[in-house]
Amino acid sequence: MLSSRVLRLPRKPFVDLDYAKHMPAAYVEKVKRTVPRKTFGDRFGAPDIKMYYVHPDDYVPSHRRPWEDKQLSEHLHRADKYFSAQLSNKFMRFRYPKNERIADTEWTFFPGDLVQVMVGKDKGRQGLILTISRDTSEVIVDGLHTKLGEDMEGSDKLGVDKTLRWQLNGAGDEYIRVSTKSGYEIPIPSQAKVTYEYLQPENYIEVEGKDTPADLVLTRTYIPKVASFEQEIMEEIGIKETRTPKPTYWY
Amino acid sequence: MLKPFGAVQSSFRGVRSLNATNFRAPWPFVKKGAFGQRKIGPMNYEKFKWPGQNREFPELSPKFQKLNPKELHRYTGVQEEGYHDELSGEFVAVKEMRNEIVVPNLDGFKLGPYVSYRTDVQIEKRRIAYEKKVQEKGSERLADLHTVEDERWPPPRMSANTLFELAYGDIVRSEYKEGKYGKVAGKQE
Repeated sequence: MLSSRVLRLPRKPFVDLDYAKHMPAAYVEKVKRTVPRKTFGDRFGAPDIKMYYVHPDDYVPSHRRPWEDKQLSEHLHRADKYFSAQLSNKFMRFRYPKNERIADTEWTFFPGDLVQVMVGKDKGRQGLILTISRDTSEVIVDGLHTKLGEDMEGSDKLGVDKTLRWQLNGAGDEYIRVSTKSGYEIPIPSQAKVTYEYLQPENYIEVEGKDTPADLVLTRTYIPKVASFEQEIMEEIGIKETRTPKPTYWY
Repeated sequence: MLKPFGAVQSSFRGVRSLNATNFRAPWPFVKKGAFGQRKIGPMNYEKFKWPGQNREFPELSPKFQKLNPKELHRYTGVQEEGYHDELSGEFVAVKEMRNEIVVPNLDGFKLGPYVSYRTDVQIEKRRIAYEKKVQEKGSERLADLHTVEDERWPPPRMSANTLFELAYGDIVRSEYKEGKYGKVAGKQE
């Protein structure tokens, strides 16, 4: 039987697919301006009080990336307004209602998918997905776009069901995308795996002098040895210990 | 009609007169007596680049400068590379007091500052291979016997058991065979 529990967990490789997957989180927070302006620490064990440029709860997501020029200037302007509202001592609270983000494991749209509008005046039109926005649950389709959530409400009555779902594959080690109606697997398009750094992770071109090659990263160089840190240093310098330690006993 | 700013004599023909006010310098001239003798152009004070500009040394009181200790008169927050000789009144540089930055020699060091994105692919490959082996053999222990330890992912954990086995395993076994630990109870010879 399998002894390890972790090994048996099926993989979900689709949860972190994104064009900006490797963008450093600290930088993203910084351009969103959802970073503390000032932190009041040393409060005898009480949690820090943080004054934010824009409180994370007040951040208004957009389908644009936060580091894009237009979006960034909008964030800066917003942080300005936020600060001036605090200074003028108005009881103005921009706490926007929390965006109901669809769970990573529920999301089924990826760039490169061919989609069709099922309801409304554009019914029947098809297009390829260019980008997706997880924060706002938006899908930008070549030629037409739509906002999920609003349109999908009450769509069950119109005969539109959830057309895709995640299902375990035959081997039981990975989740695959399956059409509810036909039961066929719809593989994730290769365009979804594209990031700023590479088109396909296997074809990533390593930067010479900067990137450590994968084989070198994964080589094991640790040699286990029963010696303390001091003993290892002594051995390196060439100091020899002649005294023998007295036996110790554990009870 | 062309009319430069501050022109006193404007012409109907759109031509500037030769009056000096029509030919002003791009920077403002300051009258000599007004602000002291002044250089025209961008100023670059080296003193402003020194440390301690915005009262950043709590050791020095900005309020009572006369009360500051004499030893701290040239204080910059940096360890000095010599000492002030009171007899000669000069600063004596001492070679031994100079800071030396000791940097390891990285010749032949293969690691770079970043990790390649291909590492994730390699890890995934190894993990799938190992998982397959575990399913084939039925248990992790059996799968370990049939995989190269360096190829395994996740890599085997270093436990106290393993460390003991590596360090003392052979010694204990051979000494046991020699009978150093005495006769084992319940074992017939």
